[in-house]
Amino acid sequence: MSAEHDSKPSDHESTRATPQTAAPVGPVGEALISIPISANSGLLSDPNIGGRGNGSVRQTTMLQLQRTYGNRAVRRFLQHTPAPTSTMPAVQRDTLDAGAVAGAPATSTTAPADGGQSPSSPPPLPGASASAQQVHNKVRSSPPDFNGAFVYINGLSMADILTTLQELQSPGDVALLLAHPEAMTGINVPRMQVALYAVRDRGTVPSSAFQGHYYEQLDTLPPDQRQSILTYLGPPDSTVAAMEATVGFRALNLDERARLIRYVGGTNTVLSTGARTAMAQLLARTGVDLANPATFRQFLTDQPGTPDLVPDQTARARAPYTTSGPTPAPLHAYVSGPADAQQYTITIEGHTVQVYLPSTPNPSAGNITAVDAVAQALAGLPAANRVRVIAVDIEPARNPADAYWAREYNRPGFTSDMTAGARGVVNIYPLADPRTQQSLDTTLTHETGHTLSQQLWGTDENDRRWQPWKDAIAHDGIRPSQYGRSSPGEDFSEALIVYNRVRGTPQEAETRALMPERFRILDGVMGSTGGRP
Amino acid sequence: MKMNKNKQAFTAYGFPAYSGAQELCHQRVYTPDRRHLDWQAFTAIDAPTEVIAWYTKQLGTEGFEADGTGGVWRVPPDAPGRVIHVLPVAAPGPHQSCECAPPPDAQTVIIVSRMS
Repeated sequence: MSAEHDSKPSDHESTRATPQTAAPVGPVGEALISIPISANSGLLSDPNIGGRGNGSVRQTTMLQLQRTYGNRAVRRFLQHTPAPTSTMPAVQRDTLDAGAVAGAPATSTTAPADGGQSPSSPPPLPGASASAQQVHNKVRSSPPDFNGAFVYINGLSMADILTTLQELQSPGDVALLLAHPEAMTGINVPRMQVALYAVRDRGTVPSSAFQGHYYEQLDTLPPDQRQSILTYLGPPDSTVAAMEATVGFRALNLDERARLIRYVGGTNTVLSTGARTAMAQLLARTGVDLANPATFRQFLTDQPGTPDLVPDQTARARAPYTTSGPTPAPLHAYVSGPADAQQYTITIEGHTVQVYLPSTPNPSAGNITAVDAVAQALAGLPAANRVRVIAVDIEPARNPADAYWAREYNRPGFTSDMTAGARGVVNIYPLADPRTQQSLDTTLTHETGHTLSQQLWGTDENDRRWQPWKDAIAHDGIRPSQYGRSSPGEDFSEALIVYNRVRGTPQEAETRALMPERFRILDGVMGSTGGRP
Repeated sequence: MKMNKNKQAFTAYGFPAYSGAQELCHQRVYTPDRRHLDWQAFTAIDAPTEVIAWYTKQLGTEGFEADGTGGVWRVPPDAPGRVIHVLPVAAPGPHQSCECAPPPDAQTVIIVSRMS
């Protein structure tokens, strides 16, 4: 596609010239009268100004004119100024944030009489602006001219880009443009991409979350263009806006600012909701030096909004499962002592897990977990975790080692909830209070996460196989929970809960941006499906 | 190789490895308040008194409490985060739930643990 366009420079020229013939913004006479003759405008009329090497002169001149007369007035003037004779890549125009350079298109509220059509053009879009029709024609022509469309859009001001693309969202042209990044040549690519993303995400991604996700790209844009995009997406979160307004925040480096915006401005409830609350409290607290970047660096280090533990998940995808049995299992070798049991076989995606339920549970021992609750919890595990489990013993009595551990750690009343070993047998003990499904889900994910990591990298976290995970923790900075700080193994299990929770949801991208290296490792561990059903 | 692996395992709990110790099992305990206890059991052919004598040289007596012919070190003593317990192989303890039985010539069990 690119080669074809490159081989037809004349097509480019005619394409570029087309916008000049589009319906003008206002009456021609008014436009001409509104621009006084000046030395600067004369420079732009010079036929040699389009030459290579004059870019900085052009830009400086344009900026001076725009500051003096405004973008629209300069655009009108230039519409009536002969185009430079030499070919000038559109990329040199975009930084002016106006269709204000020779050859740049002007938007109009209605399409021209012929709809901007060429013989190969599609039918006109009803009620479309001239610029939207132009882009539509290029995208839908046969063959499509995506590069021509990008070059055309690139010449518009950011406000006009967004208006134009908004019109093209519904016909599906924005999706087509996004599907052809290879055609983004000769333009300001980050500017184009972030504008396309904004149109795509408007109404589904809040302004602050969008800002966090594309912070680096937005940072390359002049402030007015950045503001155009954020305004287009809607009002920012008040806490994020207040944070950005502080001297201390603005003194942070780009990476720190991006990380903080993502952390505080995200829509995910796992990490960002708490972070936002904590930031609001910090901003409201008296005596805090908000002009000092160290205040915000400390926030990133302490992460005071991070929960002690990753919260239980309210709903999760579960793989289909079947339960067969029971068959009698006399004097099953429970950890809590041999007892008669009923053996059930849970089959999930071809993997079978044996579950043993006491035949005659003793109510005084506490609440016994139901077989179906265990089956559901197994069905909700990432597949990579689930295949590590070979059996679940629903114990009829408390862990006999509870008294031992109570003594060892000076913790009277020590109670085991669940035990697990590297072999893949999970023991679930009766508790005074019944377990919720959420609690069982989360506990089993966490515990089988340990089984998984220990089988992958060993039980000793000083083993060098753990180093990539330790490096990922250091790189990402953001912790999945306060508890995750206690060791790399706990961090793995807590991060795995976060990963499993957001995978395949609208929050995945922003959470991945908070913990990119951990997610990258987990992608590899879990396979292409993320271990999901 | 086996020795290196066991040495690493002891090190992970912050205790020196007993020469010739063989791993028996490794388990995790999860509590209702979401605390974790990670423990590992090893066996030694030496008598508990010999093992205690060696560890006393390594660890000193701070946090030590005698327990029959064996004994336990808690670190730190008041609110322990990790513990090493030396006890006769026949004494009751969590090692009895290990899937593997101790070797016939084993006299001592060493249980290292940490709570987080």
